[in-house]
Amino acid sequence: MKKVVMPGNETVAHAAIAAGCRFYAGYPITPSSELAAEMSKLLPRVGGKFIQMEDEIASMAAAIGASVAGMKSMTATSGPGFSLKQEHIGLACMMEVPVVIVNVMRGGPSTGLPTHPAQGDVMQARWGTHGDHPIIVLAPAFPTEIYMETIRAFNLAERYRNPVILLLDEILAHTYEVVEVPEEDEITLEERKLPPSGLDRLDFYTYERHEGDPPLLPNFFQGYNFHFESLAHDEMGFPTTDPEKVAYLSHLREAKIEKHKEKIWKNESYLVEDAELVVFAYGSVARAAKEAIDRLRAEGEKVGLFRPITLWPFPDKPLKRAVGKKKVLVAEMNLGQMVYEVERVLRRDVATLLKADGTPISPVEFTEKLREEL
Amino acid sequence: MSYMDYVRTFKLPHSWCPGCGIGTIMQAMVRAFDALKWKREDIAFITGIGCSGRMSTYVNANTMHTTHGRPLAFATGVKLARPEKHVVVVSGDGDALAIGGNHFIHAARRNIDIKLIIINNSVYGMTGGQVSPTTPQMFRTQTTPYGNIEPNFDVVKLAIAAGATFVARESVTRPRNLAKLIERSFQHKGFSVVEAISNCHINLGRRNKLKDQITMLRWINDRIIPMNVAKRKDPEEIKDKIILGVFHEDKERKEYTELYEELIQRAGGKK
Amino acid sequence: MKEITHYELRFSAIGGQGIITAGAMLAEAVVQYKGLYAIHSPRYTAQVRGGPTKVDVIVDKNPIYFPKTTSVDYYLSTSEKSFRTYFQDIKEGAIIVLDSNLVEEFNDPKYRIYRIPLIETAAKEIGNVVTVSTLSLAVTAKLTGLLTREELEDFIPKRVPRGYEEINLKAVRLGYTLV
Repeated sequence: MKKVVMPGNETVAHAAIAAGCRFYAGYPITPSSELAAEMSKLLPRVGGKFIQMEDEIASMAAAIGASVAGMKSMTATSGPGFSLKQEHIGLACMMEVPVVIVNVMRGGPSTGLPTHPAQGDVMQARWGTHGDHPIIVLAPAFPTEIYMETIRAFNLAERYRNPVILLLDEILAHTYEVVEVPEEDEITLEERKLPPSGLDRLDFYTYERHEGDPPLLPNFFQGYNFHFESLAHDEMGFPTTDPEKVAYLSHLREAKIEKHKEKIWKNESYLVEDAELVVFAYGSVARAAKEAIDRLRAEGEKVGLFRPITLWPFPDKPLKRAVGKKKVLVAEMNLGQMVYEVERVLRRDVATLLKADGTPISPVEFTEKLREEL
Repeated sequence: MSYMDYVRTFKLPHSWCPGCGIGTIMQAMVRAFDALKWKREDIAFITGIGCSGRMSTYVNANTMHTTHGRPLAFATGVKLARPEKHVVVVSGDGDALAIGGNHFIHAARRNIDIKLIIINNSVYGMTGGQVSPTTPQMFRTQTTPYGNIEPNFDVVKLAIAAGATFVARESVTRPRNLAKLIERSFQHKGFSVVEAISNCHINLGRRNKLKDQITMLRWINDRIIPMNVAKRKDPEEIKDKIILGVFHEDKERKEYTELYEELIQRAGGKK
Repeated sequence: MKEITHYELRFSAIGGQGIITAGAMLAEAVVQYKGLYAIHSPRYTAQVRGGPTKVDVIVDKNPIYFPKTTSVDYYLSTSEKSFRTYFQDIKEGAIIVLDSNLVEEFNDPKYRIYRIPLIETAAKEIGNVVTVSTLSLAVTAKLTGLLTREELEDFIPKRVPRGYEEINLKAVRLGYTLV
């Protein structure tokens, strides 16, 4: 392990290289641009490819194209660019192509507040593309965690053959912090499972699989002449409108994530056990919460934090287990998005601390609000 | 091997209307594959959305049916990942020139070694016959019931201006020439564009007194003129004609993925 | 120096003066030599030169939760406009270092104020205005006790661009004598 001071955007780039990412396509957008800049520097050094495409849509497409051709592949963007990428995120879900998308959240809607943080894209990350689809969304909060979650994003994308979205915000992206960079042998990488090469059997490897498994699909140029299809397709990958077949593959796509939720979930419970009041917060907001909790604990107040690192699939069971019947305060840098998930899971109203003015929720604001709710 | 080995015969019959030019163009393309003895597993064949987009179902290679207008952007990722492979894109006039116009000019500007065939039938066929960037002026379509007032894109001029290094045009009414021309474009190293003039008698023709394929193909045939013939004519005489032939071929300019390999060397990257 | 538990610093200037670099170097050096946690966040705006800008640095013996300053212990500024723009959350008793040529007279018994001709010294005495980063860092190290002179003399030659090692070492020496 070595300690390096770098901003979140660079941390993601370095972690991506360590995870085996060898392709990046992007388009400049504040506050994610430094990530692209770092990748443009790092990728050629390891024989990888970086390309700045003509727009956000094209960069998502190129990343998918490179993945289909066998490369671990990534793109990064922010709010408006994330909206533009949505059609192709859906395509990667549909074709079951591994790809990692980083969204550095900024104030919105529209051009909004390009240089200020927000958490207004958590629902877009889940439901941004049209139609029903499975998705994995990770929201790290601390510098070393950003590094490790980037690696996990690639691992999950390859394991489940699905897009994985990594959410940062402007604060995490731009603050230079100490990252404990692990050595190569301290990280575990997952490689895409592929059918053996050299056969020419169209009917052999298909979207057919056991319920809960990802499909075993060949890469381009492996010798299978496989068809990747954006239309609803049958198990062979060819277009179909047969309701039974459409429903079947749609179910298989959902099931591969749904059945493995327990393995995908990751969260932190901080001083929750004896707490009377539990804060639900994620990303940089959770850091202010932690500081406030420490201050209040020093005064003898029983407060804790439940911090999901995996935002989607939503950690319903872990939240219920951690919180039980305790009082809950949901804090987010938006006007209320994840709070509805929390209320749905807990089947009751909860308190909120919401802010969407381009400034972070400070520990002082947290302390005051928590005192009010105690 | 025969050209039919590049066709997924088990997916036939195809979904195109009787008399559609797309089948003819597909045959010209797979004949070019066969003539060059390209291995199927070395070909990536990528299409967008529309009637032309359906071709990826029927071609026996590594195929991908993508989104509307973006096949070139996907192809760019594929080609960069595996520069030694053949990457071929088929796109319609709406796909390549309207929703995908940006990707078209930028792929041309980069001179990335992707072989593009634009099937230009001057209309959005699959969606029922709406005006496209190449619909002739005053033609009636579903969305120009009073006649099209917009001028056309000239695909050849656009491609040359944007930086494509092989640019040619041929007509579906001359399938042998088309196959030869596609074969020649496939041998070019760099971004190549072949515009294949095609017919949509169903969704364009029937609204413009060209309602069956014979009438429409005749109409096309009357308008085309090979470049060598055109050269001997008075420009005024042929100003409304569609000239066929190779308009531009630049063998000097370096190709994008080759330049990228040099960049990797400069960066000290290992292969 | 007494043991640091939590310390907040701010450097403000006109964009392009090189003060942002001083903040970055300080954070990197305390991580390297003191084993402390540190963060620095440059004010992020559209990248225009010539406007007021700042960098905040937080040093802590524990991992830092909230990554923004709330109570600044040390404030260094090399321009009047930026000094006023970012005069927020300055703690009572804070050390304030002002460029004596570029920031107007400022007196307030709540703070320990030092006036030093930082930019002039870098330009004239050291001979290159780019050394103002190192000079400010050295002044800061001395006033706060965050780093020793030996540590800076080890750190600076490795951190600055090749060919600039000598003049920056001169800036370290001068920084320690100016205060």
